[in-house]
Amino acid sequence: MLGKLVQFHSIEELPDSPVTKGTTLWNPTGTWRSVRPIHVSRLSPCLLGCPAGNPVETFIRLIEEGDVDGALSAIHEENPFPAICGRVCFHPCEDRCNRGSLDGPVAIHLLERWVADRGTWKPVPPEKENGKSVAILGSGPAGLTAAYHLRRMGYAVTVYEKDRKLGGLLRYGIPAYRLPRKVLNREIKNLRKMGIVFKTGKSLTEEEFDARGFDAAILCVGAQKFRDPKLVHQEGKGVWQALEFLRGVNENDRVSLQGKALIIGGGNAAIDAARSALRCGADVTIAYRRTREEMPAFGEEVEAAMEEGVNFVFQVAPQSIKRGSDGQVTGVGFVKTRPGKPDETGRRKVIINPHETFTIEADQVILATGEVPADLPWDLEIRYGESLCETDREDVFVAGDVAGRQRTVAYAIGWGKRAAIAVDAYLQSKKVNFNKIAVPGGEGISMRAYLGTAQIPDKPVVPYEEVNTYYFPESEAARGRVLPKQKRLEGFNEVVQGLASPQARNEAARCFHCGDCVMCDNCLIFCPDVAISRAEGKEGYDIDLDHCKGCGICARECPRGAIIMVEENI
Amino acid sequence: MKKVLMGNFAASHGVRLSRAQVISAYPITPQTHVVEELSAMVARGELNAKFIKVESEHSALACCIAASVMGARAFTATSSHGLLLMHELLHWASGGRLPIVMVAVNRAIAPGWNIWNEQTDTLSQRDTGWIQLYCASNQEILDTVIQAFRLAETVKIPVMVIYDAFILSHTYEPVDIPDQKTVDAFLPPLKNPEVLKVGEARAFGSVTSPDFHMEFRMKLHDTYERVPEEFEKIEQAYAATVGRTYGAIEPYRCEDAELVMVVAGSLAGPTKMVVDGLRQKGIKAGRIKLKMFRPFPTKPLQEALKNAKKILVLDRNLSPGTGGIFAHELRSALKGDARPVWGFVAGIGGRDITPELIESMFFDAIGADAPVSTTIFKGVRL
Amino acid sequence: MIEPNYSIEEEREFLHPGHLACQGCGATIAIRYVLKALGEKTVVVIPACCWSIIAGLFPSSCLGVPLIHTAFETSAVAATGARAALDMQGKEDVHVLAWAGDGGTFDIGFQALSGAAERNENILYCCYDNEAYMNTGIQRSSATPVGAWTTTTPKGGLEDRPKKNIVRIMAAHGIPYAATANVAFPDDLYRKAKKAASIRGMKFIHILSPCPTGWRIPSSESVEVARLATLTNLFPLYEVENGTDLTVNYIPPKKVTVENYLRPQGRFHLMSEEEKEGIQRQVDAAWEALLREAKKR
Repeated sequence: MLGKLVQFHSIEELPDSPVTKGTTLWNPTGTWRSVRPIHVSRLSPCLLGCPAGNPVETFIRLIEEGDVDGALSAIHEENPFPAICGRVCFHPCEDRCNRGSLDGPVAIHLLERWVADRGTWKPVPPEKENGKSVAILGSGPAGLTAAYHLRRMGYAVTVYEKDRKLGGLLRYGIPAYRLPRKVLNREIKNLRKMGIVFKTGKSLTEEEFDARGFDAAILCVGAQKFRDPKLVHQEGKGVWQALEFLRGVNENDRVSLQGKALIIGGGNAAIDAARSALRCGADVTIAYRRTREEMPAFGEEVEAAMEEGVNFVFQVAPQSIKRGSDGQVTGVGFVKTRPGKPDETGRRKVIINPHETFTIEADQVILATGEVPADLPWDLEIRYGESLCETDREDVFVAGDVAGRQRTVAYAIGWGKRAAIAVDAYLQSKKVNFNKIAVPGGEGISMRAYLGTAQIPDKPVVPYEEVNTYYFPESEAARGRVLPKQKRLEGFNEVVQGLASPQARNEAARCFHCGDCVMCDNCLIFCPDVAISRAEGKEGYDIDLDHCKGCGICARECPRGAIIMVEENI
Repeated sequence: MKKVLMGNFAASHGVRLSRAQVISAYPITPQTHVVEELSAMVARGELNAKFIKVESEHSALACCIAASVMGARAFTATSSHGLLLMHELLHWASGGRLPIVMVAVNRAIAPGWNIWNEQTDTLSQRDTGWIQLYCASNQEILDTVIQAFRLAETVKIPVMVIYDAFILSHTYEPVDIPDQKTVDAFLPPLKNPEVLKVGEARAFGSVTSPDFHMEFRMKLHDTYERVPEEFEKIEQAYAATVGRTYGAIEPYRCEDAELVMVVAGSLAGPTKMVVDGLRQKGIKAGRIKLKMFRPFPTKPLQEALKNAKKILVLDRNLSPGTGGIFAHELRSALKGDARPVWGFVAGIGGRDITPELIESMFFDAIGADAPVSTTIFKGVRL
Repeated sequence: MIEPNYSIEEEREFLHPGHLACQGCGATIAIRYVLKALGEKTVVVIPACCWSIIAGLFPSSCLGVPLIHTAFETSAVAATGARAALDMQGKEDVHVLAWAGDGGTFDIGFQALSGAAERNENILYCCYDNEAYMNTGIQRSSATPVGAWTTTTPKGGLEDRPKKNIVRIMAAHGIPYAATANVAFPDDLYRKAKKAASIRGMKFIHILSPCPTGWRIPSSESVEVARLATLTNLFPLYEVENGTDLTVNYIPPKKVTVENYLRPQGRFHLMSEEEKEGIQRQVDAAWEALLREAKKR
C-alpha cells in the first residue's frame, strides 16, 4: 500500500539539514514493473499421469502435515480404491514425476498404499437420496467406481455381477500375491456400507432394465474376449487362455501344475500367469515375439518374474502346439523373428523367419496373447459423445475396458468416474464441459472439479526445469520391502510390503509439490522489495503491487513453480 | 586559577571545561599537545569522554560528525595537511548543521615540508561553511574554545578555533583557567542534542534532489546572517560569567586613525606595539584585530574603518595569483569605497615578521597615494 | 550445516518498500536479514554506495531504524563515532551497523576500516559486495573477480587480478569475528548477524550481493547466481573467530563446477576456456586449503 510523501510548504518547515521525515512507502515502485508475479496452482506432472485422477500432490501434502485420515479422504474424493491402486497400479504418475529427473520419482504408489492401510475413512450413505436409480452391469473397477461416485451423489445404485463374487478383473485377473483378497474385500465392503446394492450371479437384460424403472444404466462388462492366436493343434487339453488360467488360480487359491509351463505373450497377463504358474509348482518359461525392451508388461513385474525364476525366450513366434499321441501337450513349435521397420505408431514390425524353426518343450501352454473388449450385452452401439461414455441409447452408458483402449485398473477407475459424471449430468440435465473437469493434457478427470469443491489448475504443468532443485537435497526413493524369493514361491503371500510410517513420512517429504504453493515463504524471504506477505486470514500470499518491481526472484526461487510472471498491459 | 600554559594546553583546558564527550584526533605538528593533553585528561579521569585515536584526520572529523549526529559534544584538532585532508568532511559537518568544534593550528603547507606558521591552511577552507575564529593569545584560545561550543550549538554551525603555530601553540603565557562550575553555567549540556534518535526511523544526509539542495544551502547561508549577533550575545554572557570579552573585531586607536592596519591572529600584539610607536611619532595609526573571519564582520569593519584614509592589510597567507586573502576579503567588504587598500603579504612559511617590517608597511602607505600593486610582499630575502 | 529451508523467526521488517534499488538487487535482501537480526535498537551508517541511493531521497528513508549517511571512505569510523556517542549516553545495548559496498570497503574505505578493526571498535561492519562500483556504472574495484568485464576492464583488458581476500585480511587484525555470507543463504546470514550482535568488539561480515545490472544477469536470477557462487566453492561460507579459529559453514552436497556460476553471467562472457579452467584450479586449491585450515582448529 502506498504511503504519503511528506510535503514542505515553506523554508521554515524544512529541517536544518537533510534529515528525513517519512518512509519510502509513498514511492510507487510498482510502476517500474513490466511483468508481475502471480501465485498460481499449476498442474503437477503426477496429476497428468494418473488416469484415475488421484489428487496426488494434495494427499502427499496431507501426509507431510501428519493428517493421514485427511490424505485418505482426499483420495476418496476421486478414487474409492487407494489400497488396491497403491498395490496394483503401475503408477504412470511416477513416470511423470519431476523428481525422476533428479534422484528417482516419489514412490507415490507406496504412499497411497500406506495412507490406505494406515488411515481411517468412514463409508457412509449419502446425506440425501435424490430419488433416482442407476443399474450397473459388471463389478470390475470401472463398475464399482461408477457405483461409488453415483452413490455419493445420492443415487440408488444396483450393481449386477454375473460372477459369484464381486471385483471382476480385480478378483479374477490379478493374483493375490499382488492384491491380497482381504484388501480387495475391505474396499468393496466400504461400498456395501454406503448402501450400494449388489446382485451377484445375476445379469440384467435391457428389457429388465426398462421394466424395473431404472433411470440409467452403465455397462462395464470389461474386456475378456480372448484374442485367439489360432495355433495349430491349439484345441484340446493343456492349453489355457491366460485369463481363464488366472481365474482358475484365483478362484481356487491355487491349482496344481506339474512339469513345464510355457506362457506365450509379453503383457501383464503373461507375467501374472507366469508368476502364478510358478507358485503352482510349474517350471515356467515365457516366450515373446519381440525383445525384452518391447514387452508391454511393466518393467518391475518382468524383473520380479526373472528374480523368481521364470525363463524368458525372446523374438520367437509360436506356430503350433505339439501334442503326443495321447493328445498331451509336449511342446510348442516356434519360428524365430527379427525386428522390422517401425510402423506408424513407431513400434517395429515383427518379421518372421519361416526357415528357423524349433520347439520348446512344455506340458502346459498358457496363451497370454491379449484380450479385446467384450460384446455389449444389450443390443447397443457405443457412440462416443462428450463424455466418451455414450451409447445410442441416451440413458445407457459404458465404462471401463469395454469402452477404452488402455486397459488398466487406474484407467478403469477413471472411466467409472467419467461414466458417473455422464449419468449425473444426464439425469440432472446438467451441461458439463468435460474439458473443464478433465486434467488438461492428462488422463484423469476430477470429481471435485465436477462437484465444484476444487479446481483443476488451469496453468501449464511444471516442467522439471522450473523446479528449483537446490531446495531438494538428493535422497533415494523409498522401496517397499519384498519377501525373500523362497517365501514368495511358497504361496500367494503379498510380495511387496508397505512402507513403515517413518519411511512414508520421509518419502512424502521428497515430493516437490510441483505447481502447488505449500507456504514455504521463499517468495517472501527473497523479495528485495518486501512486497510479499502472508495473506491475512487465509492461505497464500499478498503481493504489494504498488511496490513490487517485478524482478521475478520470487518465481525463480519458488521451489515448485507455483509463481508465474505475467506481462503487464502497458 | 592562573597557570602558565602553552597555547595548545590552553585549548585542551577549554575542551575539558566544555565537557566534550567525543574527541577524535590524529597527531600533526604543531597540534599534538592539544590531543596529548586531552588523552591524559581522559586517562586521569578529569574529562569524561571517549578519546578515539583514529588513523587519519579524515577519520577524526568523520568520527566527530557521526558522534554529533547521535548527540555527542564532539571535538577534534588539527593543522595544515590534516585540515586539508579533512576538507571533504568540513562540508559534511556544516551542511549537516552539526555543532562540532575544532582547533586548527595555522601551519604552512608542503611542498616542501614546513611546520611553521602560515594561515593559508584555514583560510583555504573559507567556503566550507565553518565559522572561523582567530585567536591572538593563549587566554583567548581557552576562552574561544568554550565560547565556540556555545556558538556552534546555538546556530548549529561548526566552529574552527584558529591560532598560530609555535607563536601561540608552543609558547607559554599566563592563562586564567575558569572553574568548571562557572563554565557549566555558561555552557550547559544541550537538551535533545540528537539529530537522530535511537528508535526513530530517520536518515541523516540523504540524497537531496535539485528540489531541496538549494534550500538547505540557503538556510545555512541565512543562518550566517545571525552569527555576529549571536556571537556578541555569547561574548556578553561570557563576560558576565567569566569576565572577558574579545569582539568579532578589536579596533585599536582607530577613532581618529588615518592609517589602519587589519591583521588576524598573534600579529595583533606586535601591530599594536607598532601603532603605539607610530603615534609617538605623530602618525595617526590604528589597527584592527580580526577575530571572526567567517562570517566576515563587514559592518563592524566598515564602522571601525569609517575615519581611515588609508587601509593596510597584513596577510600571513597567500592565495597565489590573488594575494593576501584577508586583503581580498576586505576589499570585497568595502566594495565601492575609493580609499586605497595596501595588501601586504609577509611571514609566509614561518618567516619572522618584525616590528620594523610592520612599521615599514605603514611608511609605504604614508609615502604614496595608492599601492604600487595589489599585493606587496614584505620581508622577501632574495 | 545450512538447510535449504528457512527458519528466521523475526517477522518484523526494518526495510520498507518503495526504496530505490534496481530490480533484483541483492544488497536489499542482505540488509533485510541483517536488520532483522539486530532489531530496532540499531543505528546504521552508510557511506557512498548503491545504498546511499537505495535508502531513498530526502525526505524519505526506507529503513526502519536511524541511518547516518557519511562520506565514501568513512563508514567504519563514522560507526565508531556513533558508537562513542551512544556509549557516552549509556546506550551500550544499541547496535551500530556500518553498511558499505565493496568499493567503500576494499578500496576507499579500507584505511578507516583497518583502523576501526585495529582499535576493536564495538561495531558490526557489513560489506555488501557486488564486485564493482555499480552505483557509478560498473567500474572495477579491488573486489572485482578475475575475468570480469566492467566499464573500466573492457574487452581486451579484462580484470586480471584476483579479488582481495577481505575476510582473511580482517581476521588478520585479530578481531573477534569475521565471516562470509551470501544473500542466497539468508538463514546463515541471519545467524551470523545475530552472532555478531552478541559479540563485543569489531565484527566483520562480507556478504556476496548480486547486482543483476552489473553482473549482466536477468533480475530473476540474482539469488540463483549468488547461490552458485557458494555451491561452486567460489565463495565459501565460513567464519573466523579471534583471528584464527576458522569454521566452514557450508559444504556443498556435490561438486558443481565454476563454469555453472560463470556461464549465466554476461560479465564473464569474454573469458576464454583456459581462463575458466584456471579459475577452477584456483577455486579447488583455495577450497582444499580452507578445509585444511578448518580442520586445524
